[in-house]
Amino acid sequence: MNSQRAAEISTDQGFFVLPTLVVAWSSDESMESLLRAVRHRLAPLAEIGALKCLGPLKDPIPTEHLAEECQTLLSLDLWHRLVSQGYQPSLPGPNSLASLRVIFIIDRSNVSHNLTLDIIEKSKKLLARRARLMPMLIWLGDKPKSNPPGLASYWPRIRLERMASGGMEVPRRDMLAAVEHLLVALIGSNMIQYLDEIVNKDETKWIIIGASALLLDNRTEQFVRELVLNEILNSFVASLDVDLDRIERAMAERARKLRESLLQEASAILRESGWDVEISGLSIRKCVLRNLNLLKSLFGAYYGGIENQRSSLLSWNSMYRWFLDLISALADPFSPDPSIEEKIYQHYKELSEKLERISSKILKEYQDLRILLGAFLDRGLLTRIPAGEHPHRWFGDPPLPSGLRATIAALFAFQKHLAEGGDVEDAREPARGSVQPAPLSGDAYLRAAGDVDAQIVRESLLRYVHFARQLASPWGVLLYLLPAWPLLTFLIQAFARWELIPAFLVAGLILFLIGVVDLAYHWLWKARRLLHESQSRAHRALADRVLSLTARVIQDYRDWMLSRLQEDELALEDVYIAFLRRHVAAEQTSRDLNEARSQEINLCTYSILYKEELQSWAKEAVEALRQYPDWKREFAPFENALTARIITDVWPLAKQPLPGQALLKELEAVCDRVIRDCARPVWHPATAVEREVKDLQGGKRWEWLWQRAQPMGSSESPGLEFTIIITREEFLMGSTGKNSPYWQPEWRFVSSILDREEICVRGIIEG
Amino acid sequence: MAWIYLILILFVFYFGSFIPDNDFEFTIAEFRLHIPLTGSFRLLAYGFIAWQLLWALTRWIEQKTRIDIFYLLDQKISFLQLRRRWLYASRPVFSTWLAVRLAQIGLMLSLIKMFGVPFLEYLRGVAVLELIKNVIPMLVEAILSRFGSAEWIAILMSWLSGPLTEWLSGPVMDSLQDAEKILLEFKLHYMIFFSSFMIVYVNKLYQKERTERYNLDIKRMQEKRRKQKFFDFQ
Repeated sequence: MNSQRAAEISTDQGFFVLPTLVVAWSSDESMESLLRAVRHRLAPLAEIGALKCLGPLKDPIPTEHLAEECQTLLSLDLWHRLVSQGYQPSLPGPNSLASLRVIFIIDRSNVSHNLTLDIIEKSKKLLARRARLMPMLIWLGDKPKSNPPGLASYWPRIRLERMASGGMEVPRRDMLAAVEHLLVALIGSNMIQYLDEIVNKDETKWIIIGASALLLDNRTEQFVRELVLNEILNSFVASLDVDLDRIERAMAERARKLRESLLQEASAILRESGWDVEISGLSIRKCVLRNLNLLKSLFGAYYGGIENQRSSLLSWNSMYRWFLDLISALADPFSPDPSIEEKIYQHYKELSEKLERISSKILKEYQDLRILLGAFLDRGLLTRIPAGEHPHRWFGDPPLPSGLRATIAALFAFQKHLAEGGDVEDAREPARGSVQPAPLSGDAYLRAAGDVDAQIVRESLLRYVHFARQLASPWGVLLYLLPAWPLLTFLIQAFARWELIPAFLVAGLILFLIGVVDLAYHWLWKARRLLHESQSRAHRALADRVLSLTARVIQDYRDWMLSRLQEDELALEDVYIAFLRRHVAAEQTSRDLNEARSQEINLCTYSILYKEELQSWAKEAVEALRQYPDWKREFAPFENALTARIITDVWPLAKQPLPGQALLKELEAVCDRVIRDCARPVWHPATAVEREVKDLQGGKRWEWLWQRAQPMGSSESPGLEFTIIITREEFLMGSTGKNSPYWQPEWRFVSSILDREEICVRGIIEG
Repeated sequence: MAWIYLILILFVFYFGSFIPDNDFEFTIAEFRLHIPLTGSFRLLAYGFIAWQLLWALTRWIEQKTRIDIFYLLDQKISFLQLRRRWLYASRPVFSTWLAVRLAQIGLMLSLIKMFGVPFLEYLRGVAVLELIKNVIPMLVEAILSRFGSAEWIAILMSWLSGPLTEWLSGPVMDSLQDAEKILLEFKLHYMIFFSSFMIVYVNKLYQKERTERYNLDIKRMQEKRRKQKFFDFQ
């Protein structure tokens, strides 16, 4: 009972909606299109699942089957949706049963079976503890001679006959149209409530009904959709008739920036791993090992051959220490211990692992590239891209072409420039070309590289060891020079005729100076240079290896990006083809619009085409679609939400790209939703009629509706006659509403959820 | 050790004033006979014998005891690193060979001094005079008998008997006299010849010794490694 009370409380819209099951029992196939039309007109209810149609059925339906179908409408989720949409004030109470409307259409004109209507009673019993069934009956055909069993269970019992009141025969097509309008009125308005108010159920056997409707042309949405699609797709499929060179140049610059940013990221990682790296563009200006532990393991305490240490010799103390290290390194050549292979391998391994962090950079670059390429689809984005992200020419010159063709061309140009050339240039002295990437990057390769480079270090340092082994010490030089001392003394005496003592002292001094200069030249000049050369050669091998590993990683990720971009290009081409075909179809439909007009489509239905407003509605819908929030969620800066959608789902990283047809289908669905949500409230035949159909202007439509809703049937004992107008309340205002001379005061208005039609239902109550 | 003994001998002889260094002089029937350069050769002989004795003794001891004296020295005074930083070191070349080069110069000067004066005296007293008195007239006669009265013969004859003869008897004889005087006045210490000869001679033996010791060291090292491998294998 609580549910009944709840249902009786009017919502803000002035009516309530109950879940409804329509069961059509007919052998006429056109009944199916009737039900489909009802579902279409009551799409808001059908979409949330509150309307279900069964049939047309040729045989009697089993009770269990009917009960099962009813149960599908007894969903709490459905009730939640009804409440949230405002069709119901609240959920059924805890001790009450949910109400369920079952409309039984029985087409007697083509059915000759004996009919039993007690199915509803049996269903009521089956669902006794779950639902309160509210059965209704629409009887098509002549009045039965005797009331079928169970007829009393239905309310209202409506009858439509081929013979209208007044004796005129109604074509079956028009009768079905009236049934369609009647069903829409019963389900979508509170007409039942009105009938309950004016009719005494006990005294009423049948109600003879006629119905007419003014409908917005059911192609209206299609026309608007095609206009919207035409407008939306037009910018995407624009032809590419301007110079491609500018796109080429712009993307070449972007590809160069990408390479530079990858190298910058790699150089930051190298610095973190103990390498002092200086880069300029794609060139490595300097790559020096600064990892002290590794330096000491490979070269000992002195490593002047690797780096000029003069800058660090700021104090006497540091100079003294440097000199001691130098003398020590010269006199006692350093030999690396056997563990350097492992140390070099570990260093390479750590470095390779760290270099893998470039992946995050390449992902970011890929994301940025998606946005940049998106700018070819969405010109409005350009003003929001940071200045460094797009080529400077874009603002100076006329804008680059836009559209999918331009995007594909840009993507192709970018791939081309990204695929060409090396990643790392070696600009160190002596100047060399591009750095060759390491052939492999696996653990086995790193270990082999560690072994080879350790051997190169050893061999390089051994060159100095061989040289230093031949060098005499000051004591050794003294021993060699001592015999020359007396000899030189006598020679000086012979030539200069000096006394013995001065000649002896001068000879000693000369020999001392010769010894010192000779030693200094060999130790501090030649030996030091050779040591530096040996260290430099060994270090060069290490630096070359590190650069080749870096080049390998960069090349790997560049290749990864190229493969992604290739997939992106294919996906974009797929989208382009789908869009182009759809655009051609949309253009054709838009042309068809010129020939369409408002017209009567049958006796009781007038189809109104609101041509004048279609363009403005389409414009509104286009704007709404461009701002569609579900699509713009990730890429709000894009002006066009479809661009964001393409960027998000046609270029996804973690999943398969959305095929063009799927994207198109989604676009059409969203287009429908947007048109319904944004433009539909202003669509109504009342306004359309006033502008489009001269014959029905100034309230004449009331007269047309009333005349075309002739009750279909004749009664032996006619009772009360009534006329119900189902429309929106605001269209009853003014001179074209209730104040119109064509409006009759006895007519009753009932509100509905229908916003695209006006229905007139006329009835005769048969006692 | 050859070089070290050379240093030792040189300095002993240099500072040792007790070592006789004068030339041999004999007095026979009040006639005093002085033999030049014998002082230097005596000194050389003493020095050479002393050095040879020391070196041969050392080598004999080393052979007998199978001890390498430099190996011992390097162990006792390791900071000198005599073997590594002197014996086997070949650089710096200039300092290493300076003593030898000076010795070669000294030896050359000594020989010039020794044989220069008699040679110049021979030239002045015999060769040039013979040239003026006998050789040129013989040459003139021979040319005349062979070529007769050719015009150019008269010119050559006049030049040979005129300017050439004057030039030989004048400036050439004066130059020879001056050179002899210079040589006689150029004083060379008697130690120069001794030192130079010893250095040049000992250097040759020293280089040989270096090579032998180096090879011996390598053999010793190889032996040591062989033993090490053998023990490792065991």
